[in-house]
Amino acid sequence: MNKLIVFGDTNISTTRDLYPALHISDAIKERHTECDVLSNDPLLNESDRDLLKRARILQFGSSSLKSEPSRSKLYQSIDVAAKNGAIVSYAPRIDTEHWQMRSEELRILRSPVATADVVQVLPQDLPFLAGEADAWSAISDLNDQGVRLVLGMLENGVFLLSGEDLRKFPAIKASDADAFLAELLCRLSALQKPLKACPFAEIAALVDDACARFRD
Amino acid sequence: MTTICALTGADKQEAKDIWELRFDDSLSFTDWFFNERFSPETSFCAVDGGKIVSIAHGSPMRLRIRNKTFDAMMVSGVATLSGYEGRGLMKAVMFRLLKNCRRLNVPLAFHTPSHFSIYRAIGEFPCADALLHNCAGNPDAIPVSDEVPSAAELLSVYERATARYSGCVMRTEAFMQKRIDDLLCDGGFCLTHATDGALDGYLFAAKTGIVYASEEALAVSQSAYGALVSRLPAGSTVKLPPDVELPGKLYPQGVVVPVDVPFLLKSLCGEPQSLCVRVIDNMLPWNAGVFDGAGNAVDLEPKETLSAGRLMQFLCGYLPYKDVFTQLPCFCADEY
Repeated sequence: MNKLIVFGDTNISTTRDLYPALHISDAIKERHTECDVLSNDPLLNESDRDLLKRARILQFGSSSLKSEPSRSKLYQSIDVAAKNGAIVSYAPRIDTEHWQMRSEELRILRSPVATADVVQVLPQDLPFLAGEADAWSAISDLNDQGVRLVLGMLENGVFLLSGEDLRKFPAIKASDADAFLAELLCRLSALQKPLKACPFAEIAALVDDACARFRD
Repeated sequence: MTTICALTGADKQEAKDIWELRFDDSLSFTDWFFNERFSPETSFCAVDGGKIVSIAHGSPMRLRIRNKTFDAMMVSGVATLSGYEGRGLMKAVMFRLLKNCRRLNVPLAFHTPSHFSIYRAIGEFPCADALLHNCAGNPDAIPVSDEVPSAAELLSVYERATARYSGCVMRTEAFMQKRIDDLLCDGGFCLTHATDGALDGYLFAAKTGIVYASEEALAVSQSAYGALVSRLPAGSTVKLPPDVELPGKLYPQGVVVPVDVPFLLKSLCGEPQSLCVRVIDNMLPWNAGVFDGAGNAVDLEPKETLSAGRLMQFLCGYLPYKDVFTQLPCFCADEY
């Protein structure tokens, strides 16, 4: 039970769509020998279900949400993983050329927030995810929706918000956001207890440790 | 010992005291609610030592989803007294309320959570959005109230303006009159819009500090929406349907609870071959099982697995799912 599963987005039609999620996947795979990627099968198959039932973490990005069949496969994956106690992690990496600020698209982009335990956001994600250009308001909105760990990768620092608790860490380069998330998820996957049972200080220490690798 | 039970008429004052204690509503609104919406037989509470310590009000309504009308229960005033939180009382009270819905053959419940974080823990996800528009007009504008149209006239606008929305309450003329009374009870006023003499939009607002807040503004055209909000001073806020073409913050507004998944599948999908889904429901155990697209329980290996909360988002049109459920604009004008 130490598997970290990445939703591979491999059934998205173009390489351009694939890039953001695979970038995170690659970063995770480099750092985690126990990482698996879901199959290319457009449907959630038995092998996928087995992986998800053993998963410690399910990580995905917004490119999985853009079209069918990956979107419905993702929704099912989230529900199977969550039912089996996995940490659900969403790092949207919203490609603004592919998503519009239209009500229908925003609902889809925001839909994982209702079930995500971890959401990592970059400044460009915030208006899409929370309807707020102001970073702090947007991060607070995500926290209000019950995301257990909101990670705001802002220019002036990495902000970790969890319920009433907030901690700021020194900023890391935007180009390191994927690798940082990979480092953190690897640490979270090794936790021996559910995320909700972890004191904030323990989580903050893991974030600090993951951040430390990227400081100048 | 704590017991969970339905309210009775005799509980009205105690229920009202809890509402006043836990919510910031005005006395006039609270009076209105307990005169017009209080429905003890569909509301439930936890009683400890002879005292109500947790409560949830249920008000029977009709909800339109995908152009079909369903009996539904609006849940409001969910509150637990200080000192009694963290014991699972709210969840127990909600469960009894929803179990009673099932007994009454009410397949849906809906509400506007103050905090989505609380309700996601029991598997309830957003099913409707609203747009909060900040008025940017003349900061010194002083809106002059128009004469309030009749309930029948306003109902006509309401029906035309909300016909496109899934998740909207079906109102009668009597219901509309109650809603008007609600919107006016805190010193509210009404602005109207007409085209060629025919009423095609209205906006109810009340003063909050130095600006105004509108919790119901509906119109049959984008231009009517624009004209109505332009009459409020800068800084005023207006809650609008999510697809109104005005700047604002789109936010998750309401949840819909599937009380009877098989019935909803039958009504809103109806195609046995289109689904073979294992439904996970940790709150309402009778919803758990494997169903086809017509809501029949089947003894087959499921092709898909979904939580009841996520399935509800597909059923009502908030999110699309394969070619089975299309996405629709979802909005509910009523919230308490």
